[in-house]
Amino acid sequence: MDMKMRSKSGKRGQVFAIDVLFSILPVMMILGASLQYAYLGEEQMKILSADSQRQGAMQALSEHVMAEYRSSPDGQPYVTAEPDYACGGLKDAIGNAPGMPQGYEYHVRVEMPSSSEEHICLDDELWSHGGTQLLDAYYVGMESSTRLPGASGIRFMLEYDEEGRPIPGQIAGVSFTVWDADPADYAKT
Amino acid sequence: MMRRKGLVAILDGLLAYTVAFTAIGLVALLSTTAQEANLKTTYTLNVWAEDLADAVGMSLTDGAEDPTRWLDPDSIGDEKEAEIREALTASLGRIEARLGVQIRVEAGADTIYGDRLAGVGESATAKRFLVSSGGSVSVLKVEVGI
Amino acid sequence: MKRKGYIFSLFVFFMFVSVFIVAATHAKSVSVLEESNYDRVSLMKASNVIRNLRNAVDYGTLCAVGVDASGSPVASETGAVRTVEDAGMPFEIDVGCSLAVATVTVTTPAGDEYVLKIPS
Repeated sequence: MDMKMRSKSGKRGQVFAIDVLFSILPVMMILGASLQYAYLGEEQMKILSADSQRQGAMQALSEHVMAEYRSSPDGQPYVTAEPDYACGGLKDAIGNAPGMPQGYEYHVRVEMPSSSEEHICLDDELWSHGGTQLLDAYYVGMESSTRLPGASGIRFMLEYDEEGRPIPGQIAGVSFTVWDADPADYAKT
Repeated sequence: MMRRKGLVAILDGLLAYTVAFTAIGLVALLSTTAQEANLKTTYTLNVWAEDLADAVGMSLTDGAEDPTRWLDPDSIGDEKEAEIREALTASLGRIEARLGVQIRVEAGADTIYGDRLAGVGESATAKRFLVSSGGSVSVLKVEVGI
Repeated sequence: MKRKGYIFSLFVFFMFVSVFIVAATHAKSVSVLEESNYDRVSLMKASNVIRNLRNAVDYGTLCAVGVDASGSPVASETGAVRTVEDAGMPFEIDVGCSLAVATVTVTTPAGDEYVLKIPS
């Protein structure tokens, strides 16, 4: 086998000549660029897939709480402006949720029309970092310099009074957020 | 057009197909990427509309009666109805401002909150059934648009 | 000269065909996603309406008991909650009446059925 080809007229020419390589240069550049692009695309896909998992965990949490709320005869776990009990039901519901995905931190915040404060139902520390603007759009992926990425969603429930009856017209927003757990904290548990 | 022969003809053909494939491919990619972004919005708006429909429906009760039986506003006493409307206006107004959406609630023949959605790209509707004192059924409709 | 161009344009051709293939598979996956999203949304709405009906509506609203020609009681639908598919209810609700029970069937576009029985 030799490195020469034969042209139609039978003359032999060399394939790997410098001018051939030179003319293939644009092709190589395109190939190189597309390989880089494929690599970037793969990295992007990893981020998208992690986002999607986080959103799934958040959705699972919110669906669990809402399902419990809807199926119980007395509206448990309801939210109420009565300070001592504001989130008690929610905390229990989340504490009892089976099989929550590992590797995340779960937070819940409630905004009620009859109370001017926001009630933080899980992990006060998160909200004290001035995170009030973060969390009201469903499927929002968030990052801040102090926290790992997170996902958030909001659901609506009627507010209940201290006797456990719904207050007509007062609709409370319940914000569920899932953050990636800090590996350092996670490793300790 | 000049008639081209042999390998050059093949190359010409390849070039033509290449351009065609690329053009179709790029157009398809662009349009489907836009479609995908809509999916999440659709689901989200529907979840919100359904949640709000349940909350508003649960509000439409005449204190003394069974709270799972949702009443047409015409069957609720005027005073009670005014209270409910006021509370709903405050709550829903807050939610509209927070989420940047437009909400409209119709119960039976009345609109109890909001106007026709204007300038919304996408909206979701949730419906529930309300009963009136005469035993007839009317519809509660909650629309959320963004 | 012609042979150099041959390899070059083959490379370019295959690269651009791959754009087409990627676009086609993306379009297919988006259409599958859309369909499953639609089903998911319909299922959610259907189960919410069923729950609403179970709480809000009773036998009397759905079925009227009258007498037929021979004087024996027969139940007929009042047509109160029949509905056709539209944006707020992307499913069909059918009511069936017997003397003992009113049956509400909610059918989603995917063909799933929810059945709710309300005794008289």
